Amino acid sequence: MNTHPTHEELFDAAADGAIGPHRPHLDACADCRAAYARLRAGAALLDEARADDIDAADDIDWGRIDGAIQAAAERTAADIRSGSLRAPTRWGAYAAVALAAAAVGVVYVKSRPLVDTPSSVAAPTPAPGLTPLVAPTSTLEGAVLLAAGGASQTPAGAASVRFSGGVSVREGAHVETGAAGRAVFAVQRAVTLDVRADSDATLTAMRDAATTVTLARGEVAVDRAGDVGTVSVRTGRWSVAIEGDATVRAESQLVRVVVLAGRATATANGGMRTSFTGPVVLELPAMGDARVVPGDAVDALRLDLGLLRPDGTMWALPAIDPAATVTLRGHGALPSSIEALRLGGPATLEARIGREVHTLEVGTGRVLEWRKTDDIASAAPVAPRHVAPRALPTPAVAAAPAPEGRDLTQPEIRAMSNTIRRRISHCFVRCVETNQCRETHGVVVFNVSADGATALGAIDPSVAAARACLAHQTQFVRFPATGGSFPFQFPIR
Amino acid sequence: MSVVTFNASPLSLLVSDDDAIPSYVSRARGGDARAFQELYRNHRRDVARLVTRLLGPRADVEDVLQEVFIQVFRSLVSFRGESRFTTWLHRVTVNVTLMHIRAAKSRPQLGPESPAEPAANDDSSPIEGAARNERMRALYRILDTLSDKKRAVFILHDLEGTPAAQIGQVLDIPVLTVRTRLFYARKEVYAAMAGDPTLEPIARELHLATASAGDAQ
Repeated sequence: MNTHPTHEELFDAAADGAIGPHRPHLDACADCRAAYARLRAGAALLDEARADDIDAADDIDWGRIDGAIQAAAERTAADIRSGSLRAPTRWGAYAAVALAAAAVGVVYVKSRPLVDTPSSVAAPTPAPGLTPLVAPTSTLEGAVLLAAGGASQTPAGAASVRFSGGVSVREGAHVETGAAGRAVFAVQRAVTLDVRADSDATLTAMRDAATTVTLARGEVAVDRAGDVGTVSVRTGRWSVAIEGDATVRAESQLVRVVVLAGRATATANGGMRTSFTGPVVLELPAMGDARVVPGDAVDALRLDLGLLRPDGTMWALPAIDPAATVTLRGHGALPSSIEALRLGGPATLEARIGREVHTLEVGTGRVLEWRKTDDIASAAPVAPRHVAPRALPTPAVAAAPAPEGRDLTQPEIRAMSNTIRRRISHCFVRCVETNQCRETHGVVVFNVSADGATALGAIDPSVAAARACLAHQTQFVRFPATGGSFPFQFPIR
Repeated sequence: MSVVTFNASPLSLLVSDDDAIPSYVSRARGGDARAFQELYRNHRRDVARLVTRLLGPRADVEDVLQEVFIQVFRSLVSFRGESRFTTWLHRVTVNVTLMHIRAAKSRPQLGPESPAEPAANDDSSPIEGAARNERMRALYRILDTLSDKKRAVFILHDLEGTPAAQIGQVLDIPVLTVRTRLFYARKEVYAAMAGDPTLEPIARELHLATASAGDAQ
């Protein structure tokens, strides 16, 4: 029998409707005949899909969408007019004006750090903090820590308002988020709630020792630092009392609880009560008992709350491309749809958009504006640089002693920098995007044998979670056959 | 490798901006709510078509469509006018849709996903509409096996008929990368088709050869 044709060859034959030279083989080979038939069906499906000039508009309930779009248009327009959402300053023709405005801004910020800066997009607001409204055992007024994606809240007995730094959260408030929404706020001292995308949560109780959240849909994460009051999340027939860090997600027929640390006690309406100590993943079904299910108890969306402080300053941020990967430098990922966050001090946000890197400095007195600071496409070998051995970090994993050899020449360093950068940049980015790494830079050591074979040596502990990816990519890196140990520092863009 | 030909004309990505669009963009950036709505009215059909292509026959097209325009409104202030508005709009559309697909994949499904109703089509009976819808679902099951990046390129190029250069602008990647992704996407799609037994009944339904290859001549 002659050799089997490839899928591509068979598809070409199927798409063209002529099997030509493959016919003798197909007559003799049942497997290829079956594959050919499937590929003909596939080609026909593609043809059908192409030929079908989908008029999706006819199948869409425009009435439902039009109302939401009109509301969004009016809200966005109002935000622009009020200055909380503003077009970035155009440099060039307006450079002199902009520079003058920035200079004024610096002086002004120095004198009054907690109020609006005239040339800034930001509208920082004094922190409401987390203050008792009446008495220590009474309800609290919680501070918004982060708002993203057009989240809204409806205070008890009041109209819906945009979830932003200008409002606080009180008992009875109803918080709702859309597909890109996120609402993070403090509910007790050292207790934070994070209402995730596509969620609907009501603060049934918000007291200084106990908070109760009723989750109608979506997901809420509880971050509880220290031995403070409990947080209960009610959804369906279940109530989950959390004494630790956990996420609770309401799904169509069950509740999924990921206990990251501490303890969670699940109570069903009927009275069944079971406690679980994390890390553990639980399923609370609509019928039946709570059960532990296999899986890693991780929360890929978890925010590093280190810089977000209830008593900090709220900053309204200029919008960035929704496709951007946004990070708070040194503190991991943020939602790209971020609109405002409350910071305990100055910070830098970074956004990767395709090959570009934009930064936004907050709380430093600079105009709040995303500035393009790097373009990865540029071939300049500045991204990774060969660092002196004294700059080596403490090895995250003990590395085998590297053989001694000659150092790399400058041209070799440049060439290797570019090669390595292309190979391993995505390891860092992926690590940060999944909240496993807090930094977008680090030192990586490559051990090179006398014949040029390269192995991964020590890496910066801050990016230790990227080790598997780095080790995999290192096998494709070929150094000059020098022998030796070569540390490279990667300010990953 | 197959050279794909198009029965449908390339879609809106090739359409240049209407003369009024820059004015709407400018007014919207200045906080004019009516300009936002004009942009929506002018582009909603194109965006709906692209979202439907990317998502396949699913019930959540309207949700994604709404999210696309909300994102467009919020991000319009950062639109620098360095590309055509339609290119930028389609970039946002692709990104939001892919993010939605990614999020949907990460949510465990307890039952079958609620399928979209067969499109009401005066030219076909309900049975034909349902059969066609089932065929499209089979196609998108195969496309779902692709990574997001390859899926976007494959759909934009092989279904939408968008030229590689234009796809490069929409996805902000070099043309060479577009071609590379397309190459591997096709390779994966054809391999998935060849090994997918659910296509056999479709082949019979479409009166395609199953037992013998002779009819293909």
